[in-house]
Amino acid sequence: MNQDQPSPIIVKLDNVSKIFRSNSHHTVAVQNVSMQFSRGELVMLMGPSGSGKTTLLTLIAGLIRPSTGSVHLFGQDILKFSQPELQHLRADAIGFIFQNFLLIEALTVLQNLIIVQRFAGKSNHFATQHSLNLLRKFDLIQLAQQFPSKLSQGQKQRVAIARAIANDAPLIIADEPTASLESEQGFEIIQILHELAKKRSKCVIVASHDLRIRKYADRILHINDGQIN
Amino acid sequence: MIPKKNCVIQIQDDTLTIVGLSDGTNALVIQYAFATLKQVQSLIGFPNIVTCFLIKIKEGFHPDSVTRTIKDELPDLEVYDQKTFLQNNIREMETGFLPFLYTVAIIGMIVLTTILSLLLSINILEQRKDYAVLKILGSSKKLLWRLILDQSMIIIGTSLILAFLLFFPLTLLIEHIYPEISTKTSLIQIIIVTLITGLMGILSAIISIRKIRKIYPMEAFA
Repeated sequence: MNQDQPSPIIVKLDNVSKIFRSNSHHTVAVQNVSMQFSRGELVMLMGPSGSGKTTLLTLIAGLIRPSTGSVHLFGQDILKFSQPELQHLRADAIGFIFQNFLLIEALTVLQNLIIVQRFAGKSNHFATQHSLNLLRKFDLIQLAQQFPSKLSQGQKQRVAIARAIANDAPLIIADEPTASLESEQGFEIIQILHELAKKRSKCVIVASHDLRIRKYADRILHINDGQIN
Repeated sequence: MIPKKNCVIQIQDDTLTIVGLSDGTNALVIQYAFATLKQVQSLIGFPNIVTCFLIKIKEGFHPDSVTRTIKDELPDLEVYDQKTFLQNNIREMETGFLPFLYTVAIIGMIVLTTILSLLLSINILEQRKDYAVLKILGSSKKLLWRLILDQSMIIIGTSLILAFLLFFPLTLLIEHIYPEISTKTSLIQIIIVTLITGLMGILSAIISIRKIRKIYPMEAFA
């Protein structure tokens, strides 16, 4: 992975399709999608439930392999990556934000941030210091030793965002990041995501129904039946 | 009834007094009790048949010389000193009763390993979303396996500490209630039990780890 000389294009999909096959039938989740995502842009993926938004996100993250087509991350074809290489890529270069936050309940807020940095090979000391700094920036330092179950929904999502950027990942993938939040908290999260794209040059791809994201998005992609319209 | 020194016991029509408790003569399947020749003959009901005599050597005589003398005088008799007698008992235990206990222990090990692997598997399934998230975030297989192994070792370690904490007071209690039962334990036995239990923990973790392979990162998005 060559991230030393940043290219503006982070993700490139070429004619990507994903078909889920079972014994009796097959489902086309994503069909012939070709597109690029660059640094510094916030792209919104919109579409009804079951339209293929999440499948597209997981294809971009290398969590599943396309049935046809190719996925390039940072200029490299991830289909040629082994599982350990993909795992390293995800730990190092992709930050994830989920609808239900998905913080590890058995770990404290601080440990939730440390663990992703440990996956990326950072030392425990560095990870701890960096996590504390991040928690200060997100005004969560007082919650460092709390377990996620003690946090409000908004606090959980802020921790999840801090976790997503803990490794300074150039690509942030967010799946319905505001869906479980109240209006005000959701708005705050949208602003943070926008700042990540504009001030920190991250490529932020958000799958969402939240229309408030529209005005912050550089591009809005509508997906329906696995096809980008 | 708990046998104690000076206790009076009734066997058939005879009243006997316990004058002492021998150590190492209780082989569970073969238990020895010693009484005077007259009493034994009376109890058995065959006045002319005796299976064994217990001989107490007077001070100043050496057991080896007494053994030799008896063998010379009565060549058809088997004569054992105390040490040989106890060794025979132990051998009898090892070939007769202990294999049965070993079988029970092996069955116990299989059952406990199964229970532990089930506990770990249930725990994995309960937290499958966490494992899916860890996979997405870039956790290595090695780390996930270590998590399971650590959980198994914590259960095994806690169980062993609890077992040892209970074992010694319980053996003292058993010896107090049933003094005829010997509950001797050696350090080697404790080490062997600890090692075998540790192996059970490792085996349970290996069995449960298969569950992690079947957790797909996509599950976190559901």
